[in-house]
Amino acid sequence: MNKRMALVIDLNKCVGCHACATNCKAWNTGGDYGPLTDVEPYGKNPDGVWFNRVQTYEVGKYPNTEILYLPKSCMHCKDAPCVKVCPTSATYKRESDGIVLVNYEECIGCKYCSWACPYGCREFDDYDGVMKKCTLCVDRIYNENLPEEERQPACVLACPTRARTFGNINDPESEAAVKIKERNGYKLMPEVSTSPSNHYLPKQKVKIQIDEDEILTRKHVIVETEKKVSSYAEVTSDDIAVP
Amino acid sequence: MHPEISLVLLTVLAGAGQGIFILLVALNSLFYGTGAVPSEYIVAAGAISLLFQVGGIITSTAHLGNPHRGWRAMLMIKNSWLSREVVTLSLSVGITALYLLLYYSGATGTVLFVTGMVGIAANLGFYLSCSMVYASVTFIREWSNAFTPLNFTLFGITSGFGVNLAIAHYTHVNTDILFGINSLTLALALVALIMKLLSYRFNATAYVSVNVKNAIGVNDPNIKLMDMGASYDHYNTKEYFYENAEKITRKTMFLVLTVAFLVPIILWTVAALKREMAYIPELTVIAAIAMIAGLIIERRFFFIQGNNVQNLYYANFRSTGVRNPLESRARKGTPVPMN
Amino acid sequence: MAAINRTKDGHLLGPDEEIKYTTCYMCACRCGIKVTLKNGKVRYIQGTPDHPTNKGVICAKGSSGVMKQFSPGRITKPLLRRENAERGEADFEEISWDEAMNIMVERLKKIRGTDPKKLAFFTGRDQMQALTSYWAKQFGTPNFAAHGGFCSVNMATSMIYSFGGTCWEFGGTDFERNKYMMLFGVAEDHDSNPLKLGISKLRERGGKLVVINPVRSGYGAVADEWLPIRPGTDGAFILAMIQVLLKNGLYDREFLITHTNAHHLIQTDEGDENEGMFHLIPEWEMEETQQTVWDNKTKSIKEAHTKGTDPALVGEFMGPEGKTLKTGMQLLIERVMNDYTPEKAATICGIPAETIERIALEIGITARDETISLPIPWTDVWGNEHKTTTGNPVSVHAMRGIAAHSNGFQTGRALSLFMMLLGIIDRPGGFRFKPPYPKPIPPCPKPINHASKIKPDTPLPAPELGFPSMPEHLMVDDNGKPLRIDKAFSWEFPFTAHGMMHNVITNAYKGDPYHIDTLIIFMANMSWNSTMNTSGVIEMLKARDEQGKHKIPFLIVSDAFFSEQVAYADLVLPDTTYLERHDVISLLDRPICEYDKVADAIRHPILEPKGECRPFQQTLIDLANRLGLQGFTNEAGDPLYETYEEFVTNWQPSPEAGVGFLAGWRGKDGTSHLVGEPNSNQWESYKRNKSFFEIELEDTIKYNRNINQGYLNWAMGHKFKRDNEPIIMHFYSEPLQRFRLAAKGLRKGRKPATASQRERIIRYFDPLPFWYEPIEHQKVSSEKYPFHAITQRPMPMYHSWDSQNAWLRQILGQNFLYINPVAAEKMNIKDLDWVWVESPISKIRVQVKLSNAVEVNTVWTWNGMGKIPGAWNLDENVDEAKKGFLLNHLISEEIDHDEGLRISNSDPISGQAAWFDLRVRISKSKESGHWPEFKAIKPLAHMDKRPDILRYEFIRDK
Ligand SMILES: Nc1nc2c(c(=O)[nH]1)N[C@H]1C(S)=C(S)[C@@H](COP(=O)(O)OP(=O)(O)OC[C@H]3O[C@@H](n4cnc5c(=O)[nH]c(N)nc54)[C@H](O)[C@@H]3O)O[C@H]1N2
Ligand SMILES: Nc1nc2c(c(=O)[nH]1)N[C@H]1C(S)=C(S)[C@@H](COP(=O)(O)OP(=O)(O)OC[C@H]3O[C@@H](n4cnc5c(=O)[nH]c(N)nc54)[C@H](O)[C@@H]3O)O[C@H]1N2
Ligand code: SF4
Ligand code: SF4
Ligand code: SF4
Ligand code: SF4
Ligand code: SF4
Ligand SMILES: [Mo]
Repeated sequence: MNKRMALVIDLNKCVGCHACATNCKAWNTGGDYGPLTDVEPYGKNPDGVWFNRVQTYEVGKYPNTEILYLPKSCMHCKDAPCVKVCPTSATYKRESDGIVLVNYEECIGCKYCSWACPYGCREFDDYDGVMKKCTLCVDRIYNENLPEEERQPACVLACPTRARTFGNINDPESEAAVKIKERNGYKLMPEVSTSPSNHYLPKQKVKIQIDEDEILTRKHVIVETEKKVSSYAEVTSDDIAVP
Repeated sequence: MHPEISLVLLTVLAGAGQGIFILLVALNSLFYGTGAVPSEYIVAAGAISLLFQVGGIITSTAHLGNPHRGWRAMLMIKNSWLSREVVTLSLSVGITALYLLLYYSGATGTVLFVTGMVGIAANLGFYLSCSMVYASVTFIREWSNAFTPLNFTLFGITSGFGVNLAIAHYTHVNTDILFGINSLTLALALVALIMKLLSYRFNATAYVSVNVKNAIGVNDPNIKLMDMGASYDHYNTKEYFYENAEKITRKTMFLVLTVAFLVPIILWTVAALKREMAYIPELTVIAAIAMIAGLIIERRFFFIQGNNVQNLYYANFRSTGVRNPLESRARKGTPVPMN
Repeated sequence: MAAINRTKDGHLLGPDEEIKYTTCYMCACRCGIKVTLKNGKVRYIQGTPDHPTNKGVICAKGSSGVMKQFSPGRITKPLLRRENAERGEADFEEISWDEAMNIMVERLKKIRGTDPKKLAFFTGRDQMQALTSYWAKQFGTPNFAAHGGFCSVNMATSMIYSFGGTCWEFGGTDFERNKYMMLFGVAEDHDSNPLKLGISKLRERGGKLVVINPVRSGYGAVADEWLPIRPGTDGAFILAMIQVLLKNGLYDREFLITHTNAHHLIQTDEGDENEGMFHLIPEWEMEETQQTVWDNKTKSIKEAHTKGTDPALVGEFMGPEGKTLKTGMQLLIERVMNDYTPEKAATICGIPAETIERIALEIGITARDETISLPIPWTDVWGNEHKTTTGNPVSVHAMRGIAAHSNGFQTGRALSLFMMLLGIIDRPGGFRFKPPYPKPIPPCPKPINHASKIKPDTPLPAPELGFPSMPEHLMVDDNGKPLRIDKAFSWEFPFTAHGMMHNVITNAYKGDPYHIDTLIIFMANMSWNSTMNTSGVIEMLKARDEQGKHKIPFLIVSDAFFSEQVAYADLVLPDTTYLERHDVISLLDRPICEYDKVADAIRHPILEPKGECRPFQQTLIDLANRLGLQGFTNEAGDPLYETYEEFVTNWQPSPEAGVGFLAGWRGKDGTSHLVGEPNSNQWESYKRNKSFFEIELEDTIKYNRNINQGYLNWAMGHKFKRDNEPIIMHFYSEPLQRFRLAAKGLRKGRKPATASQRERIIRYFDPLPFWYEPIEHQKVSSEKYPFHAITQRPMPMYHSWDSQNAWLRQILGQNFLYINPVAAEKMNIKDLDWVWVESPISKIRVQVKLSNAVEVNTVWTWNGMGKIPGAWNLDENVDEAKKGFLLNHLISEEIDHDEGLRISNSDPISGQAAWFDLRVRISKSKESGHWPEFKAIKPLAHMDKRPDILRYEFIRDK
């Protein structure tokens, strides 16, 4: 079976720090699929190209509110609508590993692919006039100039909570696939027929159950202090050790 | 969606241009050799059709990031409606030009007929593919429905006929034929008006199965986007949000209905009822211009109304205030005041 | 076939590429970074994979380091305010370094020769306090401090005075084994990446995370439970949990008895000169080791911690001469049983009583039943051999949510006692120290304590900062008046271990306690986001006396960027950035040690300094040499060190000391670590080792370090400690009581000068923790000002530090005021409305967002977002300047004091700035846009022009 490379993002760990977003930018702007142009970087309307952005959602009503951070980059959809609509074949999906890429040399910048992406994961670079997006760091993951353990997407290496896993989800043994299975990994917008490769691991809550008798296996019991001080040598109270 | 003016012009102008061509071929085929359609009509209508279509092409390249390799857009005809649009449009232009050339060089009626039919096929192909560019974006419900191809086709033909009518007035086309075109155009315009109303109604209730719960994978009735991951607008917020989408709905609708449909319909009705009125050619010119202008507004509004599901991920706090697309999405489509 | 030529760590580099390792400084966390350079320009910054601090990960700021380097906001020339220009206008004349040095030398020489106090030297989050404080000490001014006083000194002092370390940069949670963690008031923390790595581990292992915070965000997002507490009330919450623990016997008796003084006998009779002091074995003299316990076995009083005794933990006893003796534990029980029931605490902190009780039980039971036992033998200081090392897998971590309130010291004390009761200090699964902690309680250094010690042309005989344990350690004159400009270590703020930087400008302006001549500010934006009452402070900086002279005569600023601070300077020294200079992250300062590792690190220039930028450290060395400061020059007045690098390798506190700024590769041949002669190749050795040094402690000395004989011997041997005495934790704090006794007039020696000082000390210097309403809340009507207003650190932005960063500002360019919809609805406030926020001193107009993740009585915003238009060489109309805002305009740096006087808005014990005590009222505004508006400053002629387009190739070409 062909490989299907993907990111698996653990929302139970993500604290919304944006490291994956900026490190992605840092790697890619100087990488094979860069630069990621920033327009008006110090001006009133700064507008840069990013391959990865982190959104913040509030879920529920006070005080039962949850915060959800959703880092989002191209899902490398199996049935990628962006690929289907591209009139020039500049956007293509690689057979071998499922990565969806844009060939900047062929892209005419019609933006059509971005309309067709339901996830908002493509960003147009006005300066180059071409569409850009997450490459799953193809210029890292197979890059033999890098040490083997660094042949990972930049965002994965950066993530300070190690919430991101990269791997071949067609290989049931891979860490990514195992996590999806064990943690009920899910896809965004499952009802649309994009079949995204990236998966998210849902939050899980640790709950502790305390039974009455657990409290009662006390080690120490404090006896009320009695104000009965008779002599230098007498104790009025103490804690009693119960085995 | 952000209305891309070059695409608005492309779809409206090329649509109208091809409508002109369709009628031209029809008239020339029907009345070939009768002298009822003088050659000055053929030349004028053909030229204007070409002008509209080429104008559309030229403006459309303005929205490309790399127009110099725009030709590449024809490569993916197998998959991409956009490719097909470009191909059919190019074909249409080519055939329109060829038709004129043949006409000039005195080709036989059969040759012209066959060429015309191929042209019309290309035109219809264009209407289909041009509209399918939008209708196939399943993540924009306001686009992705049968009204899109129907209306693109209908509006293109109607406006083309309208323009044709005006041209015909100035190029000594037989009065009966004029009356015929007039009635046909009027009828089409009435149908178009009804279709437009229906499509507005559809959009008002357009239901998108995608909602924010599925978009982020959390099942809770209260979900609010607090931060879109950027303080400033960027491509995804600029392209998919139109600042005053909500505000312009009702007003624009009336404008569209009035300018694109009611005004021409009234003028054409008057012309149809009172045949001699038709001899006041200015009225038909006004009607045609109104319809084209109205359709430009209509097409612009069509873009603005398009609410891509990816807006679920971005709320444009900066310019629109909290237009929390999450809630309106979770309900039903973009609110349109039809009822 | 030719072997592939790879670097040691596996890179195949192009001819134009290079990889260098250094230490990040996009914040103070000090992660290791691996920088790929292409054609000598930064291509990519990532985390150093095997670095002790970040283990390869990197944060949003660190990843954006290249944009700091590239910022057009860099200042690259020394600048002198034009004669006729006003402070704040940023109208400067470019001068040469020679001129700048001459101006400084002339001025400083005069000050030093007359009254060295007239120089105040305050530094921000610099990581070279070992150098800056040494420099100030040699200069002879007591007026030195860094940011600690406005940062989190409450956390630091309360815990250091309790158990000898703190959950800050000096200790933290054992994430390898922890099963239950409580996070109090943390949005990001200094330990940014390590905390994230740790929380990830906790989630991985299914440990429970409870976040106590008025706001849920960041770490709160992954918490299993969020307790939205009312600001300033954690003390009540913690004491109520303690009540539940005590009531249910859920405490670690053995830990208390071996590690703490909870069972030591205290004389409790009132009015006695020994009231509240430990009962000592009568015939012996006052020494800590001779404190006493009640021995259950012999039913008699015995010396504490003697072998064979069975000390009573709780009880009231009759001492000799009929004196009442109680244990600290007894006193705590008396205090909490009725006064801090969960029901009572619930009314204060807003967390339901059942929740308080449930959480306390969960913790108590987890600590008791999930005990960890490691097969690691160790020996305690009393010679008891332990076959295993045990621990209770519960931990607490707290930061500014507790620290930045004026009751934070006592809250930190409550937390410390909570930790002691659970037995979770420096044991597996709990809180762990980072070397060189634990330190003696309190640590040894004492600040200078007498006016006579400040002399012209003379170094101070003792440090400017330290840890007083009795009134005699205070830095006051014979009349009890403060000797320091910031009034640190005065009767008003006795335990000000980090100084009170936040008071400097106001005090210097008022001439209270005295006027100064020159103020040096290094790496802090004290005219803007790190000051309280920003609008007021700006006016103070501009203020002139009758003769038209500035009230603060001369302001020297070292900065790397065109900050708001620079705008108010008289003389500006352009500093290098972290990629352009040498730095040390030293054991003498705040090292990068891990729980089990001694570690330190360096920075070294991987890029050329931009323009005329010069490392500030070098400027200090040059100044020291030109001023002839002892310690930098020999008897003949000749420099001992020409460069900062030389200084670092060669300086030792005393000749032969064998310790210095860097611990690794010491000794002539670079083979001895921690202690050894200076090694001239030391920098090179660090560079070869990816810019850090680490050695791991042996297993047997990793835990229980307060009483671990092996560790204490090792620490003494390696000069971490002066002796190998045990560090018995202060469950009951006698140093606090000493101040109280002095205030009560029961103690010989120094006494507070005024009645209000006396009252403050009697009230707040309680040797056992208690909760009181934050001082500002006591004074400001909660009806008039119903909301608490607080700030949080945004993860992708560091104060004003990265305002200029092209990437980070895209992520966060505007802040909002977040308000609970329940509260907003009452005022008819909707999302994105503009509102007025008013405090007793000022008002601001800001934009709101409704949020369900904030406590109903609280509003909050991101810290440090607002800018002066034009500052940082950003366009004047950026959102940061037009919509972003600082809460600081509303926070008063002083509050009313009882005698009609004003006193610093700080914790009465530690002097910690009480940022989060702010109360405000909110009303809807008709107008929009931020108010107050500030006049724009113009970019300086010498700065780079702002590019319209930024692309990597552009950076590459630059
Ligand atoms: N309302 C509110 N205010 C607060 C806080 C809060 O929680 N709420 N927190 C407070 C706390 S804890 C702190 S620590 C302060 C922090 O506030 P500051 O200490 O003022 O920190 P920064 O704003 O980062 O400013 C540091 C200055 O150092 C400069 N700088 C950066 N790099 C270098 C360098 O390499 N060399 C030199 N010489 N200068 C450099 C920057 O340009 C900037 O001008 O803010 C305090 N202010
Ligand atoms: N990214 C980034 N990292 C930083 C900094 C930065 O600016 N940016 N600054 C650095 C500096 S100088 C410092 S001092 C540290 C500070 O690190 P933190 O201590 O994390 O600093 P704050 O963001 O001030 O966090 C205070 C938290 O306490 C909460 N809080 C406020 N009042 C109360 C209360 O009464 N009780 C409780 N339980 N919680 C309360 C606030 O909601 C907030 O979440 O971070 C350092 N790290
Ligand atoms: S996420 Fe969007 S851009 Fe990426 S493959 Fe899917 S449709 Fe294409
Ligand atoms: S913008 Fe480029 S990649 Fe996207 S559809 Fe057009 S040609 Fe294809
Ligand atoms: S895989 Fe690479 S390109 Fe994609 S988001 Fe991560 S860092 Fe960016
Ligand atoms: S780096 Fe990791 S923790 Fe930070 S936002 Fe990205 S996924 Fe979340
Ligand atoms: S946490 Fe601080 S030191 Fe570490 S990488 Fe981030 S900015 Fe740099
Ligand atoms: Mo701080």
